[in-house]
Amino acid sequence: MNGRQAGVALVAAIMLFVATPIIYTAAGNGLFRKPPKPELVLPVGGDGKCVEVTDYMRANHMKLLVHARDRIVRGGELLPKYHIEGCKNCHNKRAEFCDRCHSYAGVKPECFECHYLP
Amino acid sequence: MTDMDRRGFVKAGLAVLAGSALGPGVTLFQAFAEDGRESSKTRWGMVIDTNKCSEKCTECVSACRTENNVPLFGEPKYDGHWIRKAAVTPDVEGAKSMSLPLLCNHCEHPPCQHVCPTAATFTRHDGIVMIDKHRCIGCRYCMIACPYKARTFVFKSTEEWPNKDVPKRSKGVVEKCHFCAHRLDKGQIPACVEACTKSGDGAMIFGNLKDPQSDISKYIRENAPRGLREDFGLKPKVLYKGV
Amino acid sequence: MEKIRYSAIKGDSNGYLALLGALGVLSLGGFWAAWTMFTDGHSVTGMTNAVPWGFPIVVAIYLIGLSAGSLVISALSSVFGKKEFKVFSRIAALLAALLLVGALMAIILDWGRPERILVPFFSMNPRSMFSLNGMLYSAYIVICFVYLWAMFEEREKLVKALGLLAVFWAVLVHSGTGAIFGFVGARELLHSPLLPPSFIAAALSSGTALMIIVLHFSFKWAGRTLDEALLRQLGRYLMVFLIVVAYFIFIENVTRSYWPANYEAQKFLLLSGNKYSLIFWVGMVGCGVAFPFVILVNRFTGGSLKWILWASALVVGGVLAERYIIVIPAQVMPVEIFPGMKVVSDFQDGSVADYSISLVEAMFGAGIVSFVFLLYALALKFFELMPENVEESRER
Repeated sequence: MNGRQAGVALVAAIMLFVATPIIYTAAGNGLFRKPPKPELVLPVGGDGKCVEVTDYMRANHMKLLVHARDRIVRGGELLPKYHIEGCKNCHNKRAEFCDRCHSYAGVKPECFECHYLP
Repeated sequence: MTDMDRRGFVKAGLAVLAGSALGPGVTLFQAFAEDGRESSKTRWGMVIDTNKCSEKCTECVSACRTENNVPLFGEPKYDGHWIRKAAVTPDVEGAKSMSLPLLCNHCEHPPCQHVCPTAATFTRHDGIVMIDKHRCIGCRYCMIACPYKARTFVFKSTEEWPNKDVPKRSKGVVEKCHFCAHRLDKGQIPACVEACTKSGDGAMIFGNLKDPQSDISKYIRENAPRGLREDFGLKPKVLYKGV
Repeated sequence: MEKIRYSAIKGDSNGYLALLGALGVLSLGGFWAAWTMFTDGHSVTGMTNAVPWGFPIVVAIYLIGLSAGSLVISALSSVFGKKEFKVFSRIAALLAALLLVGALMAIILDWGRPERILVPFFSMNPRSMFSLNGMLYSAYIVICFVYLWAMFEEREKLVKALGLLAVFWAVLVHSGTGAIFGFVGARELLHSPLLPPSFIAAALSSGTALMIIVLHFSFKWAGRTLDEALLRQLGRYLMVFLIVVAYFIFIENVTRSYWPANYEAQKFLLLSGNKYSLIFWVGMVGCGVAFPFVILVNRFTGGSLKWILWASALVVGGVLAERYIIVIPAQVMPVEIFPGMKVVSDFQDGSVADYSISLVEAMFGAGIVSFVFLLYALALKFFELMPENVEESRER
């Protein structure tokens, strides 16, 4: 094929490569159908308050966990407020709370491979 | 594309590459700075009295397995060993064999820490040599470097989870004894020492080497236990009496 | 004398496509093996807690050596002044870069957690030879490609400067690889200040041997003429490198065997008739040094291209055996925790461990090597790497 044909083919290939995940995801969720927002069963205990306010936790709990993790594991600080084992006191039903948003957002945190959260 | 464009593009590309090589250099300074607080008050150590340790007893091994979810696959090649019992016999006619546990010696100059490419193995402020399993890439260099064979690799994942309060094994990283740091942080002693004292032979003493009044410091002053392969200069913190 | 003209090969013959197909299949097999190791854990390999480094690491350090050696051949013209070898410079530089890419792939895919690939680059440990090597290898690949680019641009001064940098860097890279093993004090069979320079010697011999074979077949299959005298000259260089390799093997083993503490380990390695002794004597010494040296040094076979090719093939195989002997026996021998005493435990303390190359590891190794040569074969078709007029460009 000549240069122009090769160029067209290349552009077509790139467009297909970019479009494929979009089409796949849309098809998986039903094209033009919004997936239902996750229904969370809020945890009980700890007088209804987490270590930080809800909006902050929703946006930043992963960053909090990572930084606290490094401070506890590497820094040797005790940090009982942010220790992952402390979260379990209230967050003890993973399937009804944590997993719902995670599967909606399509993320799979590898933490649960080793850390037990019932 | 004219020659000028191609050259410009390549120059720009090279500049980007060179710039991205700076990234590791900048974080190099971070790597030096971040390894735990310096604490001069605590230095955990252990003494094992081999005269008391009996061959049949494996309380320390079972306690460690249960406490830390150390995997037993039933295949000696892959079984994890954070602490293991060994029978040591001098190469002399009619010599008696000694029984003793072998575990990570939490050296002051740990070769495993020297060789870890990601600094996943590091020394905590209280002298415990820890593996940050979130950072370990599973390259196994530390296993080659440890003169005590204290480290094992997790060859496959396991579903067993006897102790849900601690993490279970994650496939693809290296692990070893960490003096039950999670128990120490709560004011308890390591599981093996507790088991040895309660239901074993009472051969293990654990404590703060920097406290001159602790049991272990007194024992060391009176009995002069030795570390293994002291000639390597690693300054191990697990000392043995009677070897 | 003409200027050297480089051009891409046509690459439309059945032979070429069949070669691409075969290399492609082997590469896929290698990637499948790496995927299995990643998903099922390293229990699918022959590696154990006693022998945590297996064939993938052997292949990785082997490829690094081949890369360093190829780079030196590439720089024969620009750095060492042997202008007649300029015709090879591009091919050798490309192969050097690709071989190191393959080595990095072998190392990273062998990790238990290869998805954490960025971690060693952003949290490096400056005391770890692995860590330093990671930086050296990445920079080396960039240098090789920039060196190759300078050759495409025909900027002679830049080529000379970059060639010098590349040779210096190659020595650093492969000494670093040797240091990974030589710096480990825990294992008597590894700890040695000779390891970095002996790695360089092995790299020179294996790299030269590989280049002789690759150049001969590349030119032959592409239908281009190659001055046989150049390959014969490379054969003479190979002969000299073999002497250096033999010297290092000799000194290392004699020194080690002299000290009584090492009697047992050396007897196990050299005299016990087990597979390690076999690989040492037949592979490392025989194929790696002795047989090829005999072929190259005598006047009946030393000048014949066919014999030189066979000698090169023996060296290529023998150096792989040498890498195996460096990596595996040191792990198989037990660590001496209680010197002079007998030890028995549940963790096989005191006993010699067992290791055999598993099918998964063999596929892994073959896959990585095939992938390197697949990229090489494709590069010949898409870039102007091969000279068309070697005969006409020779200085008379």
